Amino acid sequence: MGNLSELALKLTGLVKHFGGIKAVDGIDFEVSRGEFVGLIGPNGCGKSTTFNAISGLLEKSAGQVEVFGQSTEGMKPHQIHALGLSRTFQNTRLWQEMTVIENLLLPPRNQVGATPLTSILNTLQPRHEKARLAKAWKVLETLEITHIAHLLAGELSGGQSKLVDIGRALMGEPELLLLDEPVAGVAGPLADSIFRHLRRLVDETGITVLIIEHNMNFILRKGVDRVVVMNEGKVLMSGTPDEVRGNEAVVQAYLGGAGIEHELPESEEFEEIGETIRHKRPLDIKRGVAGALLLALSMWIPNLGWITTGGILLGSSDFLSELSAHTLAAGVDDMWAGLHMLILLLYSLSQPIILFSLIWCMSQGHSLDDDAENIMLMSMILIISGIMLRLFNGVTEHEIPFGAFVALVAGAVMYFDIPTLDDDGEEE
Amino acid sequence: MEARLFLEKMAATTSYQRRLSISLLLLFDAWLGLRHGWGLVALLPEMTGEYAKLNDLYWMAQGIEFIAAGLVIIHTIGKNLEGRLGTFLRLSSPLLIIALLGWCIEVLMLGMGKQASVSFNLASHGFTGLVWAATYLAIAAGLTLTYRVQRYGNFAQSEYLVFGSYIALSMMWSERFWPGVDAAKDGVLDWELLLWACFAGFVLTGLLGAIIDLAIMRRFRRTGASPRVMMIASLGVAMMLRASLYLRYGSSTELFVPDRDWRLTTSKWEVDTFVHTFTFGVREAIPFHEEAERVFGLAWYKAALIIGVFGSVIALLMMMNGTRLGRKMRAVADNPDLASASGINVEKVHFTSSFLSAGLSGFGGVLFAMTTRMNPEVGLTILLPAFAVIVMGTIGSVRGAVFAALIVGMVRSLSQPVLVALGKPLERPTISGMDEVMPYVFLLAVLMLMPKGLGDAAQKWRIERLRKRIESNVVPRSARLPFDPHRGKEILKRPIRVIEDLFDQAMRPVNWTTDKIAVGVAVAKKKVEPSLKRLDGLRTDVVETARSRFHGETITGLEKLESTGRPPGTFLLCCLIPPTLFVFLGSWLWALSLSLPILWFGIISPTSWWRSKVTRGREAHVGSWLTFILLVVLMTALAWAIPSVDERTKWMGMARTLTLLSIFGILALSLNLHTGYTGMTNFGVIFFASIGAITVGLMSAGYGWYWWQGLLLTIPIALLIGWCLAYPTADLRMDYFAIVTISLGEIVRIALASEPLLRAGTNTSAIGISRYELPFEPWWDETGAAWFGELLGFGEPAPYQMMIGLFALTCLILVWGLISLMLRSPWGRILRAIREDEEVTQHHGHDVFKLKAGSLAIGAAIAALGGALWAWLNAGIFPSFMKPVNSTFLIWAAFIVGGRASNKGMVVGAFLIVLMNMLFTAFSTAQNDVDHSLYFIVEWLNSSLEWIIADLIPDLFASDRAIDEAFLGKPITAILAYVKLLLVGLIIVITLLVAPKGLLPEIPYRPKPEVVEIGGGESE
Repeated sequence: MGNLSELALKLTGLVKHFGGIKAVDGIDFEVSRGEFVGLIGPNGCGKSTTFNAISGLLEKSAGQVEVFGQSTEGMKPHQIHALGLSRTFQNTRLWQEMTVIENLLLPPRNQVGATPLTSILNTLQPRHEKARLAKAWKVLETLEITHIAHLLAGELSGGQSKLVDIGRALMGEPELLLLDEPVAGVAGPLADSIFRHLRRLVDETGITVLIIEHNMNFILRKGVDRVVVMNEGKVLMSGTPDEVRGNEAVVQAYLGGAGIEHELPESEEFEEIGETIRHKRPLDIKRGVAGALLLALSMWIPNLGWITTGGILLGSSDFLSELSAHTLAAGVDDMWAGLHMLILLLYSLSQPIILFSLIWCMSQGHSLDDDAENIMLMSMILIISGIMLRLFNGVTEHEIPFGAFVALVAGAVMYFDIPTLDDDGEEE
Repeated sequence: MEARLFLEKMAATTSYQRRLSISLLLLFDAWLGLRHGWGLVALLPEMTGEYAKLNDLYWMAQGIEFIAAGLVIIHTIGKNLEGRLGTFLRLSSPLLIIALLGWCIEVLMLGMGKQASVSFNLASHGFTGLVWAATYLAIAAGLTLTYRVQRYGNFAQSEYLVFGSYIALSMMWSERFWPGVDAAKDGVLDWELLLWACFAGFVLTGLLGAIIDLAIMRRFRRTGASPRVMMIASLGVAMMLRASLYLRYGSSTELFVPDRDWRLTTSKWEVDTFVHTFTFGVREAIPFHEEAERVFGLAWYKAALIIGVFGSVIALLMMMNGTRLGRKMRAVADNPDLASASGINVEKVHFTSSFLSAGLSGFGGVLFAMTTRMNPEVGLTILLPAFAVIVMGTIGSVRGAVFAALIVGMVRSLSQPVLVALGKPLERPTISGMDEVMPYVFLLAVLMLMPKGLGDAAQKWRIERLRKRIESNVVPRSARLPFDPHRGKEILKRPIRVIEDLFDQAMRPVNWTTDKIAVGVAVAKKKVEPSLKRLDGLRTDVVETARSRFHGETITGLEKLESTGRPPGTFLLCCLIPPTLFVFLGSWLWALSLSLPILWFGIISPTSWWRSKVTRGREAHVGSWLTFILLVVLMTALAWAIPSVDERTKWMGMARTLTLLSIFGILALSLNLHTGYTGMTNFGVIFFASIGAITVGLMSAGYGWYWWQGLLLTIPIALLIGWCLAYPTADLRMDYFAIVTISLGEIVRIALASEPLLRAGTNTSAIGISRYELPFEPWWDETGAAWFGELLGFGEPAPYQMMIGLFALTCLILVWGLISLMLRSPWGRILRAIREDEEVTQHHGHDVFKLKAGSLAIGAAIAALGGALWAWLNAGIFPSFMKPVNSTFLIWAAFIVGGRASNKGMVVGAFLIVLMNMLFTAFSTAQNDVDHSLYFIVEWLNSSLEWIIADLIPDLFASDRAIDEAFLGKPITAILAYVKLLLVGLIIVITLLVAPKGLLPEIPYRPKPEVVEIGGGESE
């Protein structure tokens, strides 16, 4: 079997039936990393159903789907997408009442401002939007559709929609790209160039492409590495285009004996969009250290009071007994005080954990974004709860809001680019 | 060590076991709490002992915990048990739920040391249930038919029922029938009026439905409008119909008596029945179950309703399944394009189906008016349960609707004795009014368990059975019978076929004529069309050149934007400019002669500024803002021009308008976030608003909090409720979601009328919340009022309205700014993508559930702020402010007029609605004042109404008696509130027809290509 992560996609005994009809009847195949695979078969043989089961649109009836070695059991489409998978649909479904450029701006991963809490930052930091836009224009240029960028997606013709759909999938920086009949209805020369472009993409960035194509003649000419032939919900055979062409069973059963021209594409020069594909933000050690220091400071501020993290960890403070005393005593003030101390306890304990994970991140060279997001969320909650506590019962300790504020700043330092006069951020 | 073992064990258990054990624990806790007062929640009242009302809250919380835990246990076990036992448990789950409720009541009563005796009269409650079922079905059958064929939820369906009732009433009052009705009781039933009324009710209501379909709905179908748009249009139609009925018949309640003998005490069937009395709680020498024999009289008019409605629905079912027409309908329902391609006249099928669905409701309405006193308000109260019925029975299935109507009717009638029994021990004598709520509660529960309804569950079960049978190769039982059972069905259908053939033969000449006319119209249109097209082309050319001149540059793709004919909004501007000029010039002659050139050169002519710049640019920032400012200035001028007694009242009126504008604006912004951006059709704006209003009022009036404390509390509460609402509703279709939200609003409204916990103020037994602190009131009384009074030259302190107006405006501007800033981000973009296509958005890596929940939560918080402001403006919270007609529907009108996903539009829409409100307030003062400058309008309204009623409507329906009954013998006057309702409905329908995108449409994001260079110009 080998190293699991070598496989981009692995289907084991995948079954999907609708009521009495078995659309997909136990298929197994594997796609390795960096492969360009075609999935072909006659109408109604279950190709699109297979795609839908892989991407989580349909719940599979039985079997296993693994994407980059991870089982997608019980995962929702967006979680499967997070594993690095993007797909297109057979009947193109663009966001109709949005412009083409907006359609392209939606899929990029880890966008700043994709949640209500961070949304305002998009206006404060237009750089991210600009970078996204630049990428979107580049993709449009590659697909030669810059002239329709400002049209609403609902106003496009069928072929244009197909192109936008492909562009949209590329914007998601996929590692595994599932394309469902991407060139149906696209003019011949453009279809050729799309295939050439995909080929280049596979060669240069090492992404994996699985492509459904109805026209077998076409796909066998277009330089795919391997072809999987499906028929009546089962895998008929899989092999290189030459093998498929040589297989009499396939030709007889599926092509009706039509001849296949032997012709392979020549590679042509294309514009570079390779480097935009799939890069996570690398660790910036300076920001990491600054954030960690600030976080330590935020630990220190509340520790000025009579509750110290150290005290709790070592068990040397009488905090817990005080807490229990307040909790057991009956009275409004005690309830508020108990709540207050409970929050303090959580806060004090959470900080060492965050600091630890931060240092671990730095040692591993991971991106800090996830941690930073958690820190910011937690500290926002702490600030608000601290202020609420003060408003409603006049708790006199100011530690929580202050400490949490510093923690918020720490999170922001790690998460966002520090606005500088000269634009020399780490992106590009 | 042990802790680790425990943790490992926990990890090893499945989620099923975990859920089961947690809910068992919760059930035990709730039991302890209810029975002995030792529940976890019990800690709370001791800490906060000063709040006496927490006792009520305590048992409520424990009761909810008890029932919820029990439900989860039943649901979990039922879902996870396999085989016979599992099936048995699933089938008996309704009984289990009833047992759970009984146990809960028992424990609660024991814990309180009281007793509650519930007595079920089998015949009485059974027949009451049937009457409710018939009523709901009269609407639900038509509703589900419209859903099936035309695919939208028709909010006007209940108005058809009311319309049918009023046809019957008018006939009763007519000179032809009244002598018979008025005659003394003689013990002999006179059927003539009833039969004629049923016939007229069916045909006339059917025609009304068909005409509405032809005049309005067909236009939407032609433009390919979505079901959502048609649903909202039908809401507008419903408002117009209701307002018309109000204008004609007033709000008095009337009963339809076809003959006095129907009301005789002997006009009923005697049914032997048993009364089962169950006593819960403390029983000393009383058995748990007692049985007594009684006699129940089923009045004939109730029987007539049951037999008539169920009979007509069965006839409909036979028609759907057995005739060609039925087959055509099903074909059109499945695929209109394919149906028309295979030779079916789709428009005719739509006509027939809307005739039938409206006619059925009208027929039901005639019979319903015999059992209940009617007024136009009745419609809405039975529309929502009818929606519950069709949702439960799976939308589009008539058969499912019949079963669901029976279930919902029974639930309502059986909940009555339980509520009555609980009223006394719980010290809530008015609780029996909550039986109205039961269908909603039931609907919510059903949607959570079966998001797609009963019929879908049955369908799935049938498919699964079929699959198993195919796999196991067993010969079906019907094939082993000595005869073919389907043959019997065919023989039964034969007479229907014969009737249909005869009908078709009879209809031949009619069809021939209509076809000829249709062809003639088409030919005539074709002759006119080329010249029209030429004109259109010319216009487009001119506009194109003008546009490029104004823009100075061509932006990629923009030049390809489709140029529509006359831009929407032109008509409104043309209507608004002359009156505005009149306001400034004081003379109609001058105003008209000046406005004509302005209108032509400025707006109508193809090269005008409006056409070339503003209307094109309304989908860009500059034009949108210009239009916004123009509209606001125009409307402010109009508002200022409305006459009033003196300067002070004028300022007061303006301040009130400003406050209302801010409140409606804030609520519309919340609706826009939910519906315009995220695409969740929220008909429950007032539900979210009521959270704010009630929290603020209750906390201030009941617990003496400061106003800002209440406000600070309500925001997190609203956020929480909004977020939690996403869990049960995440997978619902948009129309189900609409019904859920509107039901929530109704539940709160009815609870506000009957629940003592939701009362506070001077007199705690009075309904509503009053006497609470208003924002900045002390400061205003001390300093602000005098200062403002001096500033504006009143000579006395300014009224408090001005303070609340300023405060509300500040809130509006803050919310508007913040939400616009937030939505101008990837977040806002993703929300709009969810609106367009949820699945695809999820496939591009966005967690749709969380985003929807977040949008719900934030929108709820905004609405809660609006609700709080509303509570402060009214200085009292009463159930009537929550009526959808006074709130939700107005906000929807503002939303539609303003334009989806456009925050500026929301403000403009709210302004328009509020302006209308202000105008009608002025009219109502003019009504009693002949010297008032607006008196002529009121007079004109009255005389028009009189002309319509007395002269236009045929005598059969507008006899003197019918007019006197409605207007109580006084001269005919137009009730202005209903004229306003009519106008709101009209605005909704017309806007949707003329400018579906609204006055200020959404601005598509069209960044310039220059931004490719990083560090270039900032994107818009």
